[in-house]
Amino acid sequence: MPVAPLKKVRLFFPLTETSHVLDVLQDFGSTHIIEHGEENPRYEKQVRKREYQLNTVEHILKFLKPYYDETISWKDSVIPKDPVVLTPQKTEEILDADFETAVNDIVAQERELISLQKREAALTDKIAAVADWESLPFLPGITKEEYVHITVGSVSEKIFSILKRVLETETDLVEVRTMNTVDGVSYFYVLFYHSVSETVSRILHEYDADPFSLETDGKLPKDILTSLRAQHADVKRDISIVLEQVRKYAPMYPKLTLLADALRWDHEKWEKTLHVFEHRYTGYIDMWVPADRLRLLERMLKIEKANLVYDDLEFDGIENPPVLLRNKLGSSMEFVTNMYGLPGYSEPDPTPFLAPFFILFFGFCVIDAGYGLLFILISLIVKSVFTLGKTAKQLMNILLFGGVAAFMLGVLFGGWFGYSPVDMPGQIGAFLQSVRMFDPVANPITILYITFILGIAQIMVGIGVALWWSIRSGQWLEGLADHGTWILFLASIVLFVLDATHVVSIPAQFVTWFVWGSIVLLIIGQGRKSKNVFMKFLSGVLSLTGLIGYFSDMLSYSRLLALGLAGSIIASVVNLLAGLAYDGVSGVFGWFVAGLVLIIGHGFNMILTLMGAYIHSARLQYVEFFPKFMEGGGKPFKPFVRTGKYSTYSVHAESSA
Amino acid sequence: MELDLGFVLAVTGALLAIALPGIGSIIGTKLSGSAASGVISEKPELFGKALLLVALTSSQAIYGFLTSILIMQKVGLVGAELLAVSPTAGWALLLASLPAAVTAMFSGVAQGQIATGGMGVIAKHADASGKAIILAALVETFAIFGLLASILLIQGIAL
Repeated sequence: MPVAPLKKVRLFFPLTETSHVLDVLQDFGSTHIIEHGEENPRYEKQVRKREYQLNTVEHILKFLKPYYDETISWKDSVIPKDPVVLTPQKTEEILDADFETAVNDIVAQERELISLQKREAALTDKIAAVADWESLPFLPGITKEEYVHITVGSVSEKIFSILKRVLETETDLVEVRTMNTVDGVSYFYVLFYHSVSETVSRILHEYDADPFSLETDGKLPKDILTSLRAQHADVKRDISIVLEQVRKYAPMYPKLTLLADALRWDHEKWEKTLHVFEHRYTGYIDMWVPADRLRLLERMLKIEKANLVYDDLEFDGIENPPVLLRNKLGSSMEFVTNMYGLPGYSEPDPTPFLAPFFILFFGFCVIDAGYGLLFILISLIVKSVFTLGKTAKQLMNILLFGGVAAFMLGVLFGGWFGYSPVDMPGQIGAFLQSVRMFDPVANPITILYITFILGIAQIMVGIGVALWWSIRSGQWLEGLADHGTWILFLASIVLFVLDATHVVSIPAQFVTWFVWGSIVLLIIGQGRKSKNVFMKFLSGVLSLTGLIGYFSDMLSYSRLLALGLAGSIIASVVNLLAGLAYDGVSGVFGWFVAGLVLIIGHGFNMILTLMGAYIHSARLQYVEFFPKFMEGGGKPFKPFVRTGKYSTYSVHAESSA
Repeated sequence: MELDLGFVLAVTGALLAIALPGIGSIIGTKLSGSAASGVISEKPELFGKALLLVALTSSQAIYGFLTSILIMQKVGLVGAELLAVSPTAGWALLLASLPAAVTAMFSGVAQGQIATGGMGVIAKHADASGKAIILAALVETFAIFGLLASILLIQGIAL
């Protein structure tokens, strides 16, 4: 399908109506404002002011969130409520209300709290440093008589006994005493005469027991500690007072989220003024609009009495318009497309073509009906319990479709949480065995051929899309020559293989003529652009080497078998381990242990399988499918619309704020 | 107990078929994963695109696993009963595993290096990530040829 066709439009309006016009465009919500290189500085201050306000409110929301969470029940924190719906009138009321006083007060409280917490941390560190010396009865240094020195230090308990013995052996003019021992560290002091101070310093240094210096200001450590502890208590009291104030603001959190969204929309609106061009009293702005919504925009502008004129600009064909994907049925699969990148504006939208293949390959990589059922269940529960954003909804839908495919393929391939129907008892096992068509573990080669068939099918669909697009663009001759010839050639190869392996029976002459005929057409079609007859023939023949590329693309699909097998084998190993655990542990406890092994093992396997299924199914689209008909590199269409982080906006609905 | 040489050789082939490509994928994933961490530390919104490039390097381990399974299935280790494997067949299965094993190992490492460069493309031009993915996928072609050769050889060997 083509991407949504766009019109390039220029809107003229009196400069005095700039804000009103942008309001209307924002309400319309389907324009992509063209941002030219230069910016209009006229409203820059307004833009910066709103940016500052928005950042401030977002900052205080982050600050208040933990305190707000304390006030709500666990149920409300796990299952969030539906977002509030804001209307134009309500949004204006929020912006006009005096929010600055409350916001500034909360900012001040936050700064005060941070400052107090820093002081508290500093005091805690000081107390910890001094606490070990609390019982020191004197100050380290030199006595008044200048004969006796006192030094304090700390060293490990083991080293201390050696240190004491060495000091007391070296000289009689020294006395070593411990004050206390904490966590294997001995805190000691040494009394010694001035004449042996060098000896004492040397020995202390040898044992890494260098003297500890303490800033005392003439006070004993215990007095210092008393003062520090009093200060610490004061700071803690101040912190609790500030926290009490902050908690009074916590219930404002929901209203502040609405304010944040209102400011965000206001800021986004004023940001667009940077791309308004001016000529005396008239302003104009360029934008892309979906062609089918242009009339609606005209009507809206008329209704809003926006005094303006618009000009439908020529799209010069060199420009790279933004790309807007519009898939009604397959909108969830746009997630897969967006991960690769958008198609160019003049290329087809790959989403509807990749959708069935992606889901099928996803199912192939899981290939377990039990896992498929769980995926379906999980996606339905999450979708019904939680209010999901666009991306999350898309992912849940992909999980749902993938789960359905995994279930169906699991039934056909006989995978039920790693159990084969052969291992299941009675009628259930018999029934499931009767609907089973393949056994991938016993017969992987058959499945390998199936993956090759799927690969060839998708490759041919890709070339078919390229052919269709060429015909649609009026280049039917080029399309048939470039792509049609390849489809014919690949089809002839497929028929040849099917006939050679007796899958189908076709008259040999027909096959031969078909193959040779398609080769000739391919040579003619691919070589047509070269200059002389010889070069046409040579380049046409050389183009046959493209078959190697298609062949290697086909082989890449063998990963579907490998991933499916890997998941199945891991699941059966988990079952084996659970069985061993049950046999090894008697009674009820055996059931419990086996159950635990099953839950953890299958849970882990499901996550691995899910990741592999998504990544490799997507990879096959990106590498083997997309390049057949598109280059990509499209820029996304960024609608100028109010998208809330905490609420939703509706022009027509009643506000639920 | 008599050593069943043929069986041992076949199992060795299966071992090499998974171990060597696995090493290639490990190294490749390490290279590209480290680069991806750098990209998403600056631009977390590019996680999806970076993840795809990193995931490309796991393909070689998958090809090796497939080859290993085919050998195991051939000798009856998977699914059916164990079959008698002559020493000649054992040597043949061992050698048949090598095209996939060796090409996938080197392909994995090389793809990791290319994917690392591709991270730079994604970081600067997120909308050109498709081109980076295709460039990285090209080197996988040679691992696929090795896989094909191994599949054909394994299928053609009589026990």
